[in-house]
Amino acid sequence: MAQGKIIKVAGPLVVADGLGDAKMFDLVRVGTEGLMGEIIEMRSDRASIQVYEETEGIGPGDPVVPTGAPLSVELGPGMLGAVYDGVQRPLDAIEAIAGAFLARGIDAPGLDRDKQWEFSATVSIGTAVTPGDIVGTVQENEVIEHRIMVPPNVHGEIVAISSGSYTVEQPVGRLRTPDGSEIDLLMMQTWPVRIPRPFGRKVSATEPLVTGTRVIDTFFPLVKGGAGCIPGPFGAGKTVTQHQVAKWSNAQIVVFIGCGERGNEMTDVLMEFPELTDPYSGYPLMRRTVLVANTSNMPVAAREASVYTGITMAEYFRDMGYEVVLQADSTSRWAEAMREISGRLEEMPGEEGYPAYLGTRLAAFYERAGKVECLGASGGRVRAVIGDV
Amino acid sequence: MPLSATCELNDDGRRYGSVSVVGSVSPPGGDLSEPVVQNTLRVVKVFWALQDTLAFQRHFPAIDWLTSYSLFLDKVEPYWNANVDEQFRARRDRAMAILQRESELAEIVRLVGIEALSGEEQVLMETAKSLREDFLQQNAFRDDDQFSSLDEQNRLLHVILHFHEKAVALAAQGEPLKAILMAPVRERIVRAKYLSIEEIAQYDSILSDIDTQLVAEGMAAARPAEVSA
Repeated sequence: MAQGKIIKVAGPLVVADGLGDAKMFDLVRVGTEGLMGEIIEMRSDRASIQVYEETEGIGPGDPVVPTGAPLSVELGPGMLGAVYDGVQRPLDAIEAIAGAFLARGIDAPGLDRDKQWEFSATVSIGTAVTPGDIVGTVQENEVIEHRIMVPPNVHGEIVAISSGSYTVEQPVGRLRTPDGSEIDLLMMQTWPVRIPRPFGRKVSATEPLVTGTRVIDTFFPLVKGGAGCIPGPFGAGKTVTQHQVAKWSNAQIVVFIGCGERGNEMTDVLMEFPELTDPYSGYPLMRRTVLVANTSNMPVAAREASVYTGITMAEYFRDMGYEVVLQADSTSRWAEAMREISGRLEEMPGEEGYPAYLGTRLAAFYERAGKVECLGASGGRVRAVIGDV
Repeated sequence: MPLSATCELNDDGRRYGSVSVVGSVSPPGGDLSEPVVQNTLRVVKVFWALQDTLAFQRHFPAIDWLTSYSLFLDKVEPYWNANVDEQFRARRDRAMAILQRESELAEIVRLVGIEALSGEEQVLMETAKSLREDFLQQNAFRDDDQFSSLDEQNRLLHVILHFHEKAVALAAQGEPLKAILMAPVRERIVRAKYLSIEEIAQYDSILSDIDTQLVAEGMAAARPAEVSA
């Protein structure tokens, strides 16, 4: 694809022309350091790009290289227990490369490429599979069984599959599509964060999410698949309430998005979550937790993306048939990130300077909650019970 | 309780999953009329209103029972009926009504004192206090209090409300309030939230204690003890 050229830089917003081939929400590499950015507005061949890293030192004339793909997350074994930034870079891997603070232009894959996982196939050669079918399992840790699914938008017949040790990039099998071409089956799939993952149908949620907190369970219950909101005035015990929900709720997977809160508050979460013991299994709570962290000193555009990164991961575990509880702390900082980007784009401001589409974005995010009938069959198993300890 | 991460499957082998979202908002200055909060409340169905005033009073979790709401009550009621107790929803609504009545009466009490209230109303004030302290307050740092199963919540609520009904009936018969509230079983009610799941039978014995202690003659028997104390 044609390379573009920067004509304007305003904080996290970069305008480049010569990008006629690119599409809205495509991922681009900005400047000579290859900073990660996302197209958020297109006018003829001129694109406005929000850059997920500091734009210091970038100037007009620098190149912009489109990748032709939207911002996506990698979904597969290795997510549980990880701490990611807003665009799914594993923070521990980054720390090993660059030290305690995020340096620019560093890229690390969301899933560990070297780690071997023990894959056990649950379907046999010759099985016709549709999107979402479970083809095998990986015991990711003591508590959670990772179910490997046929990616959405792929279907056909299994022509090869075998249990064994694989990394996330090695094919565990092959699939022949109806038009005769063959596709490798990987344990890893990627999914664009801004598009909700497909499901069979939404079903009515009637089972309460039991948190063990009396005032919540008895007086103001939340259902599994419901959405709730909690304001957090300083010192009112928001963190403890969140911990209680994370620790005691009868969901199997917890996704925690630390979005724009102060570094020390996120540190609390990072320090305390690994020490919390999962009361149901006796193992550390991190075994069934994914943390997405974007503190207030991290780039504002990645904060906007962090919420989508988190909910896409949550949806992926939902598709396996798990009950997931996602906590976003705080959506106000997310809205402020939207306001900041919107201001740079010189959009018409709405109430209190927030963009006019604030309500739509919030609604679209909360609408991704829900109880669903998942796509696909469960690999011939009548009932899949895991982690009974 | 084992974590059995079970795929919920129906007859044709379909599986179900869910994503529940709890979003926190940090409105500047605690102003709930600002756009992010208002737009959020338009789409979510549960609101847990954390109040710093409650936190200052050391009431934890500081979720304000008068401003919080859940629109899922009717949805979970069938589940409660099948898995907890058919009376649970009714008890929950009764307790909520008592707490709301308390906030109305609190105004009068502040102006003219508790003596201005009728006997039943004074019992209600006491029950509301009991609901606040023995039910709503929960210590996240105490192993025996941080988690309460639905069954325990239901039984605890039952005990508090049962005492309330008996006490109101006695107050209506002209029994002196002080004697009612001095009943030794109240001590057991206060401690009931610390009962573990294995001691669940104790709730029944508290209920029978209420029945034996809160009778008109029983009060008469309890009175000398109060005098000597």
